[in-house]
Amino acid sequence: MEKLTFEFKTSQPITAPVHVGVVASGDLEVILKPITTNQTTVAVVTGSDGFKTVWGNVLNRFFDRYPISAAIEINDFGATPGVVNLRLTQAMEALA
Amino acid sequence: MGQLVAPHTLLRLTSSAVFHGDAPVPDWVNERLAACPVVVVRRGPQTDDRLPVGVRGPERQQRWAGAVALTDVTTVITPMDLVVTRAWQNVSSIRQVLPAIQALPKLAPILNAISWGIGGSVGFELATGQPTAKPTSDLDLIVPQLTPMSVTAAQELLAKLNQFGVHVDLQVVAGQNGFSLEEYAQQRSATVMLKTMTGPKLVADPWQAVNNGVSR
Repeated sequence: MEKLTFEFKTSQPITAPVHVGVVASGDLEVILKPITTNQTTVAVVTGSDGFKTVWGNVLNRFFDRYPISAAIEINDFGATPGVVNLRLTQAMEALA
Repeated sequence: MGQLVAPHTLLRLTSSAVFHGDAPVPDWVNERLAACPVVVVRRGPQTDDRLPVGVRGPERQQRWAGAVALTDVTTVITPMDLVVTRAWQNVSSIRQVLPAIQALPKLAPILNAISWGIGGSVGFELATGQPTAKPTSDLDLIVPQLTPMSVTAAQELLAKLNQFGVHVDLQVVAGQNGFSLEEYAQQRSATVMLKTMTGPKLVADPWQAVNNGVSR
């Protein structure tokens, strides 16, 4: 198990918390909580070690597109990159 | 190709079978196959020559993807077979203490009206005798063609299944499609993730979508 932390300068505060995804193998949970600054932290807990660069790339792409300000927790249970992107998209849908 | 071999089905391979692993295949893959030549069917397009499968690694969540030919398969074990044969009754007493295995005889009466199966590490252990389940393992249940149920009914069923000290992950499946009953029951967003042959997608009505493209 590995704990990874990423930080991003962001500009779009969220107003309500969001929780999508489930605790299940091949899946992940994404939890977004409002914050009052523009310093977004993403804490990833993953059962698959050695993927820090991959997570960094996925999150960079995400924040390029959606610079939301939030405290973000991601609990990963061996999700594929396709599932990760889909859950992030779903979290944005839930914010809308 | 004949009939679909559903995802989560276990395939025991012949001694001369070839596992066409995604390159570069790490050493542990061939070591695992030598110790226990059983692979798990993955989602993806199937032909007689190429069934998409995965090898379970020694570490949790460690998998290696590849393909095998149907002619290299000696035995097909479905998640449902493990329930029909009450496979948990044959587990050694040392392994019976694992919460996920201990829960099975208690869950069986709750599910006796439907067809259900056991996947994941517990299913693999029941089918092969390999000690793949861990004290913290979830119990992965595979339920084909469950009658659509209301959110309240799903919440009630999951509450009953989750009272035995192990987290139950119930997947509703049809063909290669599948979704998590827990996600449907939680109603956290307007959509639910449906896993399909061509990848995951978000759907508004999983009960309808799970049957899309599935011949019955």
